[in-house]
Amino acid sequence: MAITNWGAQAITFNIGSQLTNNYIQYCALGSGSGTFAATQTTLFNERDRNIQTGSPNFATARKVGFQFDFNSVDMSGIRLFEFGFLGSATGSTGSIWQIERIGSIVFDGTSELQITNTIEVLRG
Amino acid sequence: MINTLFQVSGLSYSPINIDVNKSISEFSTSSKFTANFDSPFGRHSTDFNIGNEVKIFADKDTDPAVTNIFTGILENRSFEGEGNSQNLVLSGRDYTARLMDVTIEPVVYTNSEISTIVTNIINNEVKDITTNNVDVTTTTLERIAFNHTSVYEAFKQLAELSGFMFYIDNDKDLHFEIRNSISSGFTFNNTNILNSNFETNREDFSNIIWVYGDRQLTTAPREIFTQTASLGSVITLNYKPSNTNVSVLGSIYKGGIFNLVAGTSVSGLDYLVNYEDRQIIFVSGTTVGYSKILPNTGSAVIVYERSVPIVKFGQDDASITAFGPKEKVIIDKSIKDPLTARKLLLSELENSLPLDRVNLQLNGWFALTPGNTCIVNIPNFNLNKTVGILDVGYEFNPSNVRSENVISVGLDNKMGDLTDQISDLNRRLKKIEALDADDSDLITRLHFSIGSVIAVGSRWNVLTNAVVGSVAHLYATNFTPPVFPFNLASGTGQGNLAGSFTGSAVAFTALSVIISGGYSY
Repeated sequence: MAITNWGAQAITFNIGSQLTNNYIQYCALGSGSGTFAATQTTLFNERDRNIQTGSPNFATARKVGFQFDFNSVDMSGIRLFEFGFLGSATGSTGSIWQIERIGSIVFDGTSELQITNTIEVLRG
Repeated sequence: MINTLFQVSGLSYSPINIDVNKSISEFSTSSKFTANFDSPFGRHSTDFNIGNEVKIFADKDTDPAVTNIFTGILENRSFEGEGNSQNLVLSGRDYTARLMDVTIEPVVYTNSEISTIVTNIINNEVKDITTNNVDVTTTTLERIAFNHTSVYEAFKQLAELSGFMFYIDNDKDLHFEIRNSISSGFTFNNTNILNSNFETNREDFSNIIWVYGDRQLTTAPREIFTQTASLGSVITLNYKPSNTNVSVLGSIYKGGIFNLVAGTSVSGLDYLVNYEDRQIIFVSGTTVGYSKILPNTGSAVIVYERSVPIVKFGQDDASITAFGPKEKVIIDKSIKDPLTARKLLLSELENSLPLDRVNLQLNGWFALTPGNTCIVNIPNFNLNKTVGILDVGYEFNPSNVRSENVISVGLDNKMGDLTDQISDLNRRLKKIEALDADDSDLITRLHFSIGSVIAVGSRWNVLTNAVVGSVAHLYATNFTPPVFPFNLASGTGQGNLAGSFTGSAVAFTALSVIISGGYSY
């Protein structure tokens, strides 16, 4: 799991009720390459961003689950290298909670994409 | 035959001997146990750990026994070996230990009914104990303060003030209820008593009670003296003065303590205070070389504080007539208001008659709870009355479980013994040491903790599907699908049939996981 510094700060703000409307709501897809750094505030090369499908799933204690769907039109021509989770639909700087990097998946317009993400919080 | 069942952390074991003692110390009940095991070749070397929960059951002719007579904590584990024998001795207390092991942070309860104080203390200070059987008392305390008093001692004090008693039952629930209010339903007489002892003496009773609490400084009436021929250098006040302030003609005089300093070294002082004789003495004479005696017709205004004690006194005249006077003086600096002192006085006066004490060894099986009552009928001792059960001892060993002679009981009143006196000394010492830990002090509430929160997630999945052909879809006019394609389905989508049009789109296989990652939990 690659929580960014911004994400960690966002958790801190939430504990203290300091953050409004910056919860994870969007998933961004990217085709950039590079090594993850906690200081990142954007993907290396963002290509698309969709809002979550439905609402966050809090059915299990201390866990929150998200689902994001991208149709074949969204995905057409994207070589997916990276994805991340954000609180806003516009602007790609400064509000990315978490970034994951994968080996590339090439989309040619004949496939859809679904990303699920579950975050668990434990006492340290 | 008496059967027993000994369990530690839910597992059953077979000790050779088990002793269980439940005792009441006038206002509270606590239990302890000792169990002896034969442990050849380290049989029980790893079975028990300090802090394990211990339950002991006993019953007559029921095997295994089901009546729970003890629930507590393993507090001591002792292996003993000599020659070819190895033994293990376990001992511990019931959950009353939880009350003894923690103290109450400095707090003051004002105009609080006693059961609410008890419940509040449990909620704030004690783990594992519930309060389902804390009965409402008829006593409301105007003020009571606890300064790092142990919870057990605090409850004893509250029980004493309300005429209640308390104990922790086998379900770890606190009982705070009227003493001797519940009948055990048992009568002990020549059918079930093996041996008995009935004693009455005048050792522990008292019929004249003094209760001294703390002293408070209050402002005394201001006194003004005008110099006359008879006044001289010594002024006598109405009360013993503390924090005196003497002003003459608008000047505040500098004071000292009478006889504290040598005459030649008092230079600079204007007056001296003689506390015991209530005097203000103006400095003068050839030794000091100056005079601060008031000039003719001059006035001195003296403002000071007097020390007012909290004292209550009471006596039982009938008892004094019958048994002679027997005084008891209670000095408790933690009492800072007269009403608490009065309640303590009245409570002590209840013990103004010589105390009876009955000890019985019983035959048979009786599930007894200290604090309940029973009837004792021994005509040859002129004894036939309902009395409270003070302590119950169970001794289970291979011999007496067969003869059913396992129970001994103490009834009616407790005679103070050396243990009680040591306990009382310890309690008084704690009260003295706790005097400076007042609730009005600045006490840190800063707790240091190593706790933290870690977002250990996430478990993420990337899923894709693939086109397999085309499929027809129905959409309402101007309808924008939230995802593409938006398949018509049962439920809310059915309403869109009216006015919809038919289109076609690609069809996909089901989504399948291509890559997943993150922390797997």
